[in-house]
Amino acid sequence: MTYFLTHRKCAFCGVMLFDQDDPVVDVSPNGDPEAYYCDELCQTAHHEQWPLEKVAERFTKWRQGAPSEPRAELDPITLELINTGLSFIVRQMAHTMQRTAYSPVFAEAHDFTCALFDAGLELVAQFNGLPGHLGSLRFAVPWAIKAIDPSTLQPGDVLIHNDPYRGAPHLPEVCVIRPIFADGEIVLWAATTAHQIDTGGKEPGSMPGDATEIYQEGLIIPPIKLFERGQECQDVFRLILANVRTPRSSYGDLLAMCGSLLTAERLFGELVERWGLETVLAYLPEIKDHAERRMRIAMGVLPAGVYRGTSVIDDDGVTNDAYHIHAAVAILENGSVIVDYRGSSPQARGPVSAAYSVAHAAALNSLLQVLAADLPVNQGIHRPLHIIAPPGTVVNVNHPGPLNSGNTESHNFLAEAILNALLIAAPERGAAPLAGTTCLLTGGARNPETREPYTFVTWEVAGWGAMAHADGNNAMGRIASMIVRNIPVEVHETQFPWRIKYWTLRVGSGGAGRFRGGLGGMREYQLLAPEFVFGVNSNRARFAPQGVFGGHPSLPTRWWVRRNGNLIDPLSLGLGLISPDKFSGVRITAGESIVVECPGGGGWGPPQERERERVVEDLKQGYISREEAVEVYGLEEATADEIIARYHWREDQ
Amino acid sequence: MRSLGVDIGGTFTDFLALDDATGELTLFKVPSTPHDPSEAFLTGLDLLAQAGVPTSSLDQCIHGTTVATNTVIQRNGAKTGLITTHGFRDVLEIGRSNRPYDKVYDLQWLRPKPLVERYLRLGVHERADSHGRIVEPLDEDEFVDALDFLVGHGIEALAITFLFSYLNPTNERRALELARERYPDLAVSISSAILPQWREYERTNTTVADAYIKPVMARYLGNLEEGLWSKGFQHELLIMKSNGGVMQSWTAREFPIHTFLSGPAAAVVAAKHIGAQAGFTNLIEMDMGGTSFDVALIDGGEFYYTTEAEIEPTLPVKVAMLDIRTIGAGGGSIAWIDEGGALKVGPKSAGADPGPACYGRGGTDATTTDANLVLGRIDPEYFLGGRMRLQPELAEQAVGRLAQHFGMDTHRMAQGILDITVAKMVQEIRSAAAERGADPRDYVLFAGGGAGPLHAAQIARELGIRRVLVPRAPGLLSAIGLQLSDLRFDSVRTFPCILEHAGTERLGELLQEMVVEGRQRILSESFEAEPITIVSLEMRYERQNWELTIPVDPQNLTVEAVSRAFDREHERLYGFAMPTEYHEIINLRCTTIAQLKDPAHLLTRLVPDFTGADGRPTGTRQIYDDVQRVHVEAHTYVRDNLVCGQQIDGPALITEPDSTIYIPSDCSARVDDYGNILIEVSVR
Repeated sequence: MTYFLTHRKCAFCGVMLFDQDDPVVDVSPNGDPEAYYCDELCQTAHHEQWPLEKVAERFTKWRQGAPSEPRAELDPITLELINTGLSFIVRQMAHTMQRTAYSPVFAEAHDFTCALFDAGLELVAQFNGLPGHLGSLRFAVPWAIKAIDPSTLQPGDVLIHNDPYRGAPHLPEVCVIRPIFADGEIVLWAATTAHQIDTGGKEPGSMPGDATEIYQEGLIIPPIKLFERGQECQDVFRLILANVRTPRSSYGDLLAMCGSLLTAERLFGELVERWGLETVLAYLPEIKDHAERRMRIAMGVLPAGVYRGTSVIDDDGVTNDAYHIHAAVAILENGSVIVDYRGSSPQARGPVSAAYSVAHAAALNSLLQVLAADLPVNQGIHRPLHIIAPPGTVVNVNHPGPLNSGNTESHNFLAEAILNALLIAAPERGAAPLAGTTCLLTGGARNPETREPYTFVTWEVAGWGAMAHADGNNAMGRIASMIVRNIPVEVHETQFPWRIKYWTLRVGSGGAGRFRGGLGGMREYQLLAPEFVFGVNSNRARFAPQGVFGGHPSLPTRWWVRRNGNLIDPLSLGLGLISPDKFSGVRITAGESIVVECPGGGGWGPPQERERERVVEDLKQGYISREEAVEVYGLEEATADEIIARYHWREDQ
Repeated sequence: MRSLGVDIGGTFTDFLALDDATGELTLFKVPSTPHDPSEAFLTGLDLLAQAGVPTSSLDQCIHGTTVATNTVIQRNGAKTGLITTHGFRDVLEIGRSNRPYDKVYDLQWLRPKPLVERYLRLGVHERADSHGRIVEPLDEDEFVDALDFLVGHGIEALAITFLFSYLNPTNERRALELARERYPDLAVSISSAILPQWREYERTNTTVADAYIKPVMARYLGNLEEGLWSKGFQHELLIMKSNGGVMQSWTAREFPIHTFLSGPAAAVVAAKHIGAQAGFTNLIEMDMGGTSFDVALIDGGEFYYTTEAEIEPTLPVKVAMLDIRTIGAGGGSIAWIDEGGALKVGPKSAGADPGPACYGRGGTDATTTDANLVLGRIDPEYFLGGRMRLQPELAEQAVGRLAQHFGMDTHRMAQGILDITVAKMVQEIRSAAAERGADPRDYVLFAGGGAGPLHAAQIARELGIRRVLVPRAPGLLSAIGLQLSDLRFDSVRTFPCILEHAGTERLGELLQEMVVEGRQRILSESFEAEPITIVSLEMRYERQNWELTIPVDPQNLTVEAVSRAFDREHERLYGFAMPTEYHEIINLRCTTIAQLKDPAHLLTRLVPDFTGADGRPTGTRQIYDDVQRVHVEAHTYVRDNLVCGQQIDGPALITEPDSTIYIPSDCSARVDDYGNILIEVSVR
């Protein structure tokens, strides 16, 4: 028994390596004696610094898997029936979660997912949850199991873990896993992951924008048992709940998550009763292969070739350095794709670096966005995708680097680099960059009315990028989390003495262009309680979303404190803050406000080419300012004044 | 008393007239006229008059309409303005900023446009806080100025939604007064009257939708009533609500939002009453038509409600509706091979045109109707009562193409198509039951819709349900249900509090106010029957996020009684309770119901008189049996020729003008005293 976890990765492609993977240890004179590789191929590619084109050509292991035919010996009707049966199970798991959960992040925001894995630890069904979860759970589960000895597990056991160096996307994303037995053997694994309202660490909400080590971000839970033979492991519960700020609701949430696993076990039992275990298991490989086939065929809309894109993260909250993401995307003839992040910035001091599973999730998400093909969700759609995410960089953080916003924020920036590359491959399927920042606001105080501790976590709405044929959507979520709902004003003010002064679209925030970027939102939270300490975790204050093909960038993110009626830049509060959009520990008192102004999306094409009617309409509706209409789009001043006089009731809206 | 029910659907407008005195029942269909639905309505009245029931002789006319739903979907509602609390005019456009689940992976998805343009959304100074205190009174001059601006831009309808108006409607009510004084003809909807419930986006969108359809509904009902009155009708029209009740047409003009998605509600009402007559109060009502499959639970004779409806993805309408779930599975659902080589069925439908391959209208895709025809379960000569002759050879070709692709027998493929369709319907029923903590085995399956009785026995077997009830005229349930509906008024108020802290005094007062309001509403619709009131609380453990609806007795409202009732329900639904946690109340609900007329009037008329029937089969057919998976010889019957109490052993087929009932070889059926067919399913 070892109490110390090691985190070995392939020095070339960055994937986690376990003893059972039989890694190659690099002892060559040129190499780092500490380095491990998947195999000789990764080792050679690393030493010789193969360009992506050469990797694509030589990595036959990544070229495998061509469109194949369905297995003739299987019955297509039974196949479809078992497949829908598995989808039903994950849907019911999600239902159990949603109805019994405590934190609004589950029930209001739907920030969770449920899945089933086969005995080979491959994903066979997943509830269509967040894109971030879609890509990461397929690592979080198998890597947890590989780290323990599954032969010690018993029916009724539940494992818990949130280790981002072992597949979790960041600490709040806690995962519970239950083995499902038949005749003494594990035949299936049920798993649920969900964003916890708090997992400890230096800031309420466990998302400190200025963390420099993972230990500041919260409690790290390696894969351990939470239930043993159906009984709560009370010591484990005590340990976890003693380390979070919201023990009551965290306890309820954990039970809700484990409840979903019970649902899975019961319903899988019914499926087996209906079809027989042998039949169900015999069809699982085809269910995965079918999804792989669909994915490869869908990839056919992207012309083969290598495409490159970049994006930039403002800073890491601790230093002033910007972090650049480089993504080279190789589309192969057989529908395989390699996303190569080499050339991206080194690992950050602050929490913006992504865990490996996030780098994979962002790549898969980007592809699915562009394919828009309504694919089945299981291991099959992951198989054609391979990533190169060098360890120790901003796309694959090494222990004990901080990484909380590597999931919420950086996923969007990794995706942006890939989407920018795919924009070259298939512009008609793409869009200009979207705002891509959650504008996360967290804080804590004691509620003066109930005298109870209050943990505040909220996020804002921002614009999406323009397309070749349409303006971007206004006021949406991020690409990593777009099913997440915002929290209503009436809910915020009921839970704490806030007075929200306004919540509107931010006029002019969309990047100008032939098609305009969508608008971001802006909101002012006035504090009615005696005091409140808050932090923010966001991006785009330094680098706004860019336009494409001559389109303009959007407006940048802005955070303010309103004190005595004046808007004050937090950097000038004299607190020694470094980043304009990532900081913590700012204190406001009664009557003062937090103001946030969110970016829009980038524009598409030169604004001069925008149809005049659209410019007139935008000004009439107040989506653009008079200044923008005249100076950027070239609308005559007299016309602009006429429109404003006729259609704008009052300026102060 | 003579009454008429008119249900306007996408394809047909159904009529059912009943004469209480003579017991005469007139049932017929007229093709719908989507460009102006009232046209088909008035055509039907003429036909009815020709059949000896002049409009002037009608004492009551109940109408189910899709005008509200269609107006929003087609975006041809009134030019509408919105006045909000200053600073919140964009709440309507910001929404909840989420994407629908099925559009998560589509970079180019465009969100639906809000129902009010931005320049017509204005914010005025006023404010209430989260305790319902008015912290800033309405700036009346500013409000009037905003009003004048909007009217100057030609709005026909106005929505007013102020923050926290669900706790204190003073400012909204004052705004309404001002608007009424100044522009008496303007249609105005205020959120505290439409949906006094928290979450400003949902409340705003619901209120805006109400305003948006109000002038359209007023014109539609005006035309209709003018037509009715010109033909001598002397009463007010009654309108079907989405909560399964009816309301007077003037109420429908005032709150048209309550007609949203009311289409399938009447069928559920019919199922409840027909089921109760046959002695069953626990029913799973299914309605399978040409393109979709609806399912609803009826428990102890009571409906379930939901407030989760959306008129379009991300556009919620949160008024209480019957909880009816719909999936794309019907007689027209297409079987196809996806790009990965897997067999799929639906949700795409061949619709009515070209329709299934066997219609011979150019459709070549195999549908579930084709599969049933291939298996011999539909008589091609007697489809839609013989009005349409089906072409089995086209169905054979369509299904045969799929079978050949997979190298299997055509009949097995046809059965497989039905197996997959049935699996989807079964899943939907299982989900619906699971969400209510119900076990389908405790229910009777009520098989409605033209295609329902063909599949009901197989669905029941999969669910472990032992009995299937096939009503008379399963394809006309909505028209029947209209005449069985009660007057019904639902209200909700958000009052968030911790039960243990707040006690029950204020709660009791609020509930009492709601009870009084409900009674007044119902009595204003001037019916003799004494209203009954049902009061419930939507509550949860403190900090949970999903509320359970707990019926309470307002006369015995103690902290202890309420919290124990909640614990029991939580335990029942989720398998655990946490009685030491605080209990949090979110919403108060009150339902007031008054019976319009005794359902027995219609129900007894639906019973066939069985005279002249001899119960003999019309012959035999070779059909493919879904249990033995081989061809068997089945007796065929015509439903009108069955006699009371008759037993029919499967395999058998019973045809009637709008449906076919399939009784597999492991089932037997009995004709009950009311002419319903009760199928006993052998459960493994």
